[in-house]
Amino acid sequence: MVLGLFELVAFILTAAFLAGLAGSTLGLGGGIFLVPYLTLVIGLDVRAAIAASLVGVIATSSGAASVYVRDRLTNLRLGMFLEVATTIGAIAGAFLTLFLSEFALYFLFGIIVAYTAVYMLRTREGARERAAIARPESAFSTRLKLSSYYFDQEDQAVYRYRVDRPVEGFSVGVVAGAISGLLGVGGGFVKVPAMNTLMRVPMKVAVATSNFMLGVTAAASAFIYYSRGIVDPTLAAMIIVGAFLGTSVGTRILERTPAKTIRATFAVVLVGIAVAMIAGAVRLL
Amino acid sequence: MRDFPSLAVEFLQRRVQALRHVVTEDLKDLNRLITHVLRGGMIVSLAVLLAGLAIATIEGGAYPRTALEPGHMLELAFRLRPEGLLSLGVLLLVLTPVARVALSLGLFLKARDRTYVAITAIVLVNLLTALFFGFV
Repeated sequence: MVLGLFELVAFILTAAFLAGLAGSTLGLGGGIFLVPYLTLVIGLDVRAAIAASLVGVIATSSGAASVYVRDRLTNLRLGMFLEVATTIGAIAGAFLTLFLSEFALYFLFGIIVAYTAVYMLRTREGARERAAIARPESAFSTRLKLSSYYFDQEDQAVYRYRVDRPVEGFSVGVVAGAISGLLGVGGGFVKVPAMNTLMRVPMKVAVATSNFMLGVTAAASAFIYYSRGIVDPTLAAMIIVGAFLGTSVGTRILERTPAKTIRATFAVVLVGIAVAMIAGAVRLL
Repeated sequence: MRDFPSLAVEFLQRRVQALRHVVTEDLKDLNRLITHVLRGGMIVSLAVLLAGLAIATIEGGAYPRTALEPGHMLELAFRLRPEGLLSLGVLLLVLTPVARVALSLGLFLKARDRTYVAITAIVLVNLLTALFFGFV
């Protein structure tokens, strides 16, 4: 596709804005949208697209996290605990690429993501569910001081919540990190459902905490791309500006939108990702 | 109407006071520390990037397309060259989350929260390992 300079700038800014918006309201980095967009529409090669999108992920994470952390929506301890898992996973993922076939990878993740989407669509999270799931927590959770509270604008109430299954959540975190190492995305589409459905963290807290963690995972990868000279600073600057503007709108949307809507939107996005992954696996056959 | 230098000095003094307040009071609280680090990193890198884009545009649209290595980058950035400013802006943004982890570690050390000193230290080591080997 041949584009004039003005159209090109407008296209990139809009895409980065939307990625920042989606990233801050759904806890994804936005790489999952930006990489295909930059390669298919703008016509960048894959490595340049991943490098640019990683920078966008960091901008989305820093921009949104500064708001969510200030408003105490982010569970900092949970985020830092799971960062141990995602960074270990990211390093392991780099080794795994040597052994796993791309087909198996896409197919497996497609199935897992589809299952998660169905699960999230079938279970509800209202005030009653949030209250009903408050039961005694595991000793490990207590030791890590993971339980916290947050102010929910939707119900105008402060909810205390407990974090269930820290060990299982940690294991999924390793997988999420490995995926980001393997596929060059932030892995938010694994972390958010893991926190929300497995660890029973309220949806908005899961989104904010995933967003918080994304910056660290992406920073490691982005630095590598930077030192190899793949980052285009002009393109990166445009993406950073767009993503930052996207987060300043997205953070307001998340805090005001009912958790139910966010979960449903997230599940729909998951279905899209699952379809794309399985289609990618089939194409490889 | 007061002259510009005295206004600028007053503004700077007020900023320094506000910063001192941040350093003494806010640093005790993890949430506020992280908010300041993330927002600060974001604002500084955005300012540097926008300055770079503006200077490149004024100079006739020679936009740099490759990032520079740190030594060369700093030298050009101090001379307000767009290629130096744009690379510096991107690097500042990438380093912000790393700075956040390092500062959290400092705060946990000060609070003697051993569990979280260990957790943040592992994250930092993992990050540095990934950077060092160029794995991720």
